[in-house]
Amino acid sequence: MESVTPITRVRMRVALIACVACLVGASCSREPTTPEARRQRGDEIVRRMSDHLAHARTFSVETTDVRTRARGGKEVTVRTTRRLTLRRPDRLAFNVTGDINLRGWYDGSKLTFVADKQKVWARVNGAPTIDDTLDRLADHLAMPMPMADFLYSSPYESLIGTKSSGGYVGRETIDGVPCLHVAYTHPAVDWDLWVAEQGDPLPKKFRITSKTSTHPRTTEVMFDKWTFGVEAPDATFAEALPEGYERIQVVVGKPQTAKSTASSAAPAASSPKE
Amino acid sequence: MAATPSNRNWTRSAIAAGLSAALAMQATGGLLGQARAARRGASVQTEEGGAAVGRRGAAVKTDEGAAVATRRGAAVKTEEGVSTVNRGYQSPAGRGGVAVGEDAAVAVGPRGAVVVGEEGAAARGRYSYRGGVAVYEDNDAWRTAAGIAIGVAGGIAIGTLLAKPPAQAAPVTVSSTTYLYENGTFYTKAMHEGQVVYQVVEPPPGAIIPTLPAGCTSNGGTSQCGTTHYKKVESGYQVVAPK
Repeated sequence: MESVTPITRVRMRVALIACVACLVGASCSREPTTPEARRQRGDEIVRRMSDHLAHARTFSVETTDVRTRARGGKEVTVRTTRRLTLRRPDRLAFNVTGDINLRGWYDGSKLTFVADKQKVWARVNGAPTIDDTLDRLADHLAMPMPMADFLYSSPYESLIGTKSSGGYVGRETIDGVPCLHVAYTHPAVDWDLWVAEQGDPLPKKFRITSKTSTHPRTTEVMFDKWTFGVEAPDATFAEALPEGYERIQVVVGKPQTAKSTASSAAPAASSPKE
Repeated sequence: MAATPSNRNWTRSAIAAGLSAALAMQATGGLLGQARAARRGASVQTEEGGAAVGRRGAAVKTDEGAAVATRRGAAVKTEEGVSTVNRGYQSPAGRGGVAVGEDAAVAVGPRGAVVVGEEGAAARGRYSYRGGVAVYEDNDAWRTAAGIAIGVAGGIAIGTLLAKPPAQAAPVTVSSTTYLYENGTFYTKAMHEGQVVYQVVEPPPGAIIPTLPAGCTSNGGTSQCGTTHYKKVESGYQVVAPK
């Protein structure tokens, strides 16, 4: 039998090491292919993003959102830009422009809304924390806040529940920013999120489709101008009300039928006095 | 076991309160574009029925019956009656049933089914499952939705929300509150989903209008227009409480 020379043996070892190195390198850069691997990678991306936002005591962000809503039996498209400042755990201020013009603040106790165009304002009870106040906005006050999932103390838990499925989709560039795309589905809601791949893991784009109404409704949010550690004194969240503005009530949802007052005089909507 | 009158009243109250809370919740969950809000209270409607799920329970309604369930109790209503299973007390009745547990209450009745817990509510009423408050672009849009021909008199429902008030609406101030008035209907500004809308309200006592709307009956110095009573005053007609 032909013996292997020492030189050949060295060459074989070098070749073997090179092959192993190539395989390891290839496996590291390879995109996940199985559902389990995609889920794990997706969860990691969302968790990183969530932790980054959760650890920020103060930040501000600007979002633009587009959504459809029902208006008298018709579908209308609503476009708004929101400038938002947050200070954990109990301060929030926002300014909405576009198809809706509204500014407001949460001072740790009350939620105040001001509509300068109509010269009116409204004030309702908040809750002790941003989390509870956002829940109250959603559950009781019908106030759209499309980026709210990212303001909670744990955006991960706001976005992903036990019945959620999905994960990593791939790499995409959004407005020139390389992003990691994740997508999840749930019996009540589907959503896609694009998180910046380089630098801080910040949300760049969010698209969410609610499936709980007869017609699915999609909202698309673009994030911009993330600023962390902003100056956020108490005055930011407790502005003075403009003089001469009229106070109005906030309407919360109640069932309503389109019929004449001749047969029904019962209020179809209430105005809570809070 | 027959339901006592008090239990029946409780059932109706629970249904009414629960429907209100649940429909408010559903209205937002479907519109806000928030994953957390949607996951916390989901509702689905198909042509064959509806279902709603809250954190503490669920309710389902089809043409053949309704069922609600929580961790502490459950109730089912069919054409044959109502049965409840719970850890509190039960009161099956021909008109409805209710189960009250430590953490939640469930009820079914002629107007729907509801479960109400500490952290949410789920319901199916005979109103729209999409819940919430419809906002109409203007008065004509409401008439179209209500099936009232343009130009034909017809009172707009109290509570109706309009994005725009009628063009002819004129301001009327009562006790420092400004209303808009047009053709027998009073509107007040309100905020809904972050927008200023115009809500139809009961005629506020003390409001003075220059002329009476069509279709009123007069008796001496008072007039009645639908359910609203007016008293003739120097500057017009003042809304007064019915005697």
